[in-house]
Amino acid sequence: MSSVEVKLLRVDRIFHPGELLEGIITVRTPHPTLPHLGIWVKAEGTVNLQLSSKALGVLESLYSNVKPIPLLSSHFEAAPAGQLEGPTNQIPFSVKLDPAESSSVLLETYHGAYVSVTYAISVEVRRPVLKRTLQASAEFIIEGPRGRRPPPDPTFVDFALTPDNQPEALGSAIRAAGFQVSGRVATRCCLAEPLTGELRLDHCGTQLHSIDLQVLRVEAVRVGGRMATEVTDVQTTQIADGAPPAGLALPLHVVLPRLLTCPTLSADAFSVAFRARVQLTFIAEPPRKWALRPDAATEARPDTVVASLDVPLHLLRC
Amino acid sequence: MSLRMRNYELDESRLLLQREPCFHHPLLPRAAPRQEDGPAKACATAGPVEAGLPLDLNAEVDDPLRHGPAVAVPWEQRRERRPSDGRRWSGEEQERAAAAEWEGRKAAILQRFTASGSIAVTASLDVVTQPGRARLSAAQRLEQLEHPQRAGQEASRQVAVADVVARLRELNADLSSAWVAAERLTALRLAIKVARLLLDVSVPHFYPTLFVLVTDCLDTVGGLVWTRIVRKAEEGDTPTGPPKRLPAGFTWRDVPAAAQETCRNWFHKVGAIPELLPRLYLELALLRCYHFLEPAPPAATLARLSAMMRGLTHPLAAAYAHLYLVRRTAAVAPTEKAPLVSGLRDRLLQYRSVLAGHHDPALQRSALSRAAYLQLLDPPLEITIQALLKDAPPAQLPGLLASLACLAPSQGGPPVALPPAAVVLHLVAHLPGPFVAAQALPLTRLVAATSDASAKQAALFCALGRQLAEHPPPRDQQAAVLNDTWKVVARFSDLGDYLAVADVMLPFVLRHFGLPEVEVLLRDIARHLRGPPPPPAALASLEHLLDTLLAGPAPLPHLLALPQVGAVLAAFDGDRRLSASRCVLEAAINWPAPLTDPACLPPLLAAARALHDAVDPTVPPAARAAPARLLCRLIPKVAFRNDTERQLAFLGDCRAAFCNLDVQGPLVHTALRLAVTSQRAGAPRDLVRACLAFCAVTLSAVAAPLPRLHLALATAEVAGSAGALAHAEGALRAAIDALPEVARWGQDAATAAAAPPPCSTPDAALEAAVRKLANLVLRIPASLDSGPLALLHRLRAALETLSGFSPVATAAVLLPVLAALAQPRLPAPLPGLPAPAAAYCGEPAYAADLASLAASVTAAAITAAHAGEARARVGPPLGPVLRLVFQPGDDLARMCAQL
Repeated sequence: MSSVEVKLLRVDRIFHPGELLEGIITVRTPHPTLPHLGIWVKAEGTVNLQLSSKALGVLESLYSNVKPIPLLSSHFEAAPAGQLEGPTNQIPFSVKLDPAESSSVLLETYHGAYVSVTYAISVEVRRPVLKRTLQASAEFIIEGPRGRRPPPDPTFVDFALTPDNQPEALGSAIRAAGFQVSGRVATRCCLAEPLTGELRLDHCGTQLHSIDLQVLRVEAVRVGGRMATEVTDVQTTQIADGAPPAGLALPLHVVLPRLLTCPTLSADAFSVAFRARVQLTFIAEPPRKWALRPDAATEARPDTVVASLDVPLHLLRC
Repeated sequence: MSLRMRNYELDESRLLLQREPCFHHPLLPRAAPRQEDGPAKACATAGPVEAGLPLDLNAEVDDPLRHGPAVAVPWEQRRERRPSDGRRWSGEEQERAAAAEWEGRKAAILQRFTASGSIAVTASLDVVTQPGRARLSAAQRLEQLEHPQRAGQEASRQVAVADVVARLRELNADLSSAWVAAERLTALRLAIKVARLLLDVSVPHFYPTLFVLVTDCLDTVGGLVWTRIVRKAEEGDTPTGPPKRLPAGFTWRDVPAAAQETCRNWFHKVGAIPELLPRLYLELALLRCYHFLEPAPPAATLARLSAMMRGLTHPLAAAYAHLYLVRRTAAVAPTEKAPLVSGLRDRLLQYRSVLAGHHDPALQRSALSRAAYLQLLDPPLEITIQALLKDAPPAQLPGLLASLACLAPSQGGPPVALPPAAVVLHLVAHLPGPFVAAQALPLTRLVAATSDASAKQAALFCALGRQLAEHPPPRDQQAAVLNDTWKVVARFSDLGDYLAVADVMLPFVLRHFGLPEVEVLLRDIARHLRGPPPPPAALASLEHLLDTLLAGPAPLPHLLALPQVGAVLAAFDGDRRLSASRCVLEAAINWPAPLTDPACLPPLLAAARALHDAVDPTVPPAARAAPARLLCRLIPKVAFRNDTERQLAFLGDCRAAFCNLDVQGPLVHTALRLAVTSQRAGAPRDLVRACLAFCAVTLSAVAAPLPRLHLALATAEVAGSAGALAHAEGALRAAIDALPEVARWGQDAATAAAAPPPCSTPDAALEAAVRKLANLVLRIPASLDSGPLALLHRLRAALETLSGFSPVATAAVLLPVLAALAQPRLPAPLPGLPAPAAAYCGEPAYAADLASLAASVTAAAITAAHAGEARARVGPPLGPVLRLVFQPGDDLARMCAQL
């Protein structure tokens, strides 16, 4: 059975706006010849937006329809109609990665929960009537140009996590025992570089299960004149697996995941921003249970209680 | 037929070989003689010295061993041969050296913390409890899917340690096979899973083993990733292009962007691991790959990883994670010490909390004592300190010690908080010797002030003592160091600890102090030994101490004269006492000079008596040989100058005390030597005779006949030369009387092998003894009471009783003696004694006795020869003997013709 395959010459499939995307179309056929009506190549890039049922409600999210936003659209014929010799034919092609007319810029590839920016190249071998059209596609990644912008100054933002800046749900016991975690984090950081900072446990009266640093994405989609915003977890990185010695600085070093992060951006229809969340997980004493059997109370497993503090991040491509 | 008269001088000159002068040494290559050296000159100076000895240093000999130093490359040059800096930290050499070093340590850790039996495996260890999916049968897999709870229950059961170890080794193989099958992400996931095993610290005593096995897997992953990126770099940016090999000393500039991107991808994957511990382990495993991205060794990364380990709050997990950091640092950046120092300081915070008992409740849950837990923390601590001190510049050492609060900072002032004893122990043990010597006093005070449960203070002093023995402190500090040490050590309540330190410090004292200090030390040791009997471990130290003391540079007679040595010896019992006694006796025997001080005898005799008393009649002869040999070598060693009586008394004491052992031989020999030296020194004749009398009495106690025969002959010879003819005759009689016993002993097959060299058989030994006996009978005149030929008659009678000695052989022995007795001058007379023929002034009766005895012996021999008895004994043919002994004539010719 005949088949078509598209392969990009760049192994990592990462391209920058304005570059030439080069690839090879490989058409295989068991027949001596393969007649076709033209081989068409299509390079497309879109911003796909989804609505959160949590932000809008289930019904509204079902009925509200947000159209994809085209970023790149290039459609051309790689080979005119004719016949291909079997068994294997290779047809090179190239596409200039320029933004579509409706868009002014090629956004970076980003795989989010409600916003995603994807790019793909698809190949179509059109064939005469009663013959199936052969199709293949491959995703490629657009990254902003590197080195154009100098690395940002390490502007650190200090933070302090105390019972005072926590909600009431934290629990009175932990609140009474008290805790303080202070530190600083570089809020303007380059995507290729790790998120840095440091953190120290000043004191903690409750048994600590772990200290984590979460990277969160804040995705907002405009619908009906208002923004539906949703915060989701991108990556959790453990900083300490318990209570570290008080006063000792622990370095923060979080490698930002590729594709799941992108430069902070804000457009008319959507926006993507990131936050760093310092999270303390306490082991709370199990609630006292009154039971007839004496060992029933001891069976209650200790619960965990979380205290957290968010610091907004500004991610850049540099 | 009369006896033949001889001229021995003429016979000797005829028999001598003709000699010619030699111009060249036969063992040296022949060189052409120089022109100015004529043959006459060469002839006159041809001696061994002038000709050059074969092993003379000036000789032109091709000695391959002399090439050694020339071929060996100095250390500095070897360092220069190492590749340049960029290559160095990525190089295979460092990786290999670190891996080889780790192999040794790994084996030690596995051996030290042998985990046997079974462990309670928690859910996190499921990867080791569940067999590989590939090994599960379809039925087992279905069972697992249908009853996941049951599978979970099985996972929490007790699992044999051997099974866990085997499964982890299998996982290591699985990693490689997954990689080979191009399932690299599977391999990475597996590696992360394996690294997560180290999160489980619920079975602390298994943790070191687990660490070793898990890091083996991680090392495998690190190597595979490195190889993968190298291959990627050699492929270039485009997969279709021709591969290009990376240069041998490649740097990050030689690595194509695609390979660098792959490398960054790996670090991204590792960075996405949520848990801290596996993330750290994986990044450390891939640490070498930073060479693809950075120009210099990843010092900043190491510092960051070291600081990130502060987040590991469990001491055991943190200590072993830091150990892995130390290992990887040694492989990629051995000169980087800062991360190790900061890491060690962080670990010490946790170490102190363990010491303070903050973790005791958790340890009780694991049924582990605090001391055992500290032992688990010891290997990381020791290896870290060793790595810190390895190749560390001497100038940085004070700063390093100050940072660990081991030395006061340069500004002065005492350290704020003393480090744990285990840290001090490893530091003192592994610091460079010259540095310890220079800082001996502060280190001694540190050791004296350090005391906690992490290490015994005695171990600290032992480590210090070992260093000081090799590298002594400056002379002006030596006494202060010793005093500071002993102030603490003398107060030790545990005798084992005290003796261990004393044992280690003794070489230092022996080498750098005089006998008074050694005596003070021994007195203190003896004071400690007055209490209850020392435990076995203490006795081992004491035994080694005694060995060190006796083998040290202090003069042995002075040491033996100290009463404390006897006290030390008395502290042993049983087998250790025997061993210590042997040690004392061997030291005395190996002492290069004779022992002349009577004061050193008590410990020697005590030691000898201990050995003797251990031998009772039930002990087999083979077991007696060793102590007897020692005593035999000791007896000649004792020599009191100019005090023959005391010496003789000592020999008498030995004879009385060591009757169970065969020591009579050396006693007789020593007494004979004493007689000879006394005679030469002009001592009174009575003293010499007393020595000879001692020998005569001692001879009778010698059980073995052949040694007794030889001793009797030696006694006779000495007595003869001393003019004590009565003693000589007595000894000869004893020797003649021993002949039948010697013959019987020779027939005993069991003793056949014990024939003394150079005689290969008992018969040969007997024959040689008989010849010597005949020689002495010839030279020593018999007393007038018994007649001049009484000894010869006695000898003949004894020889006739020997079944192995035929009349022909008897004639071959006796006839030359009879012929010599007829000569007016003997070939080798004893000094001061005339030949018997001359002494009897041609007395006809004497000549007649000689002729009569010769005729009788000859007749018996001829009769026996005719009867064919000579077949029983292979001896010299009778004809030549007769021709040598008798005057040529018709009678002799007729007699020889009959033979």
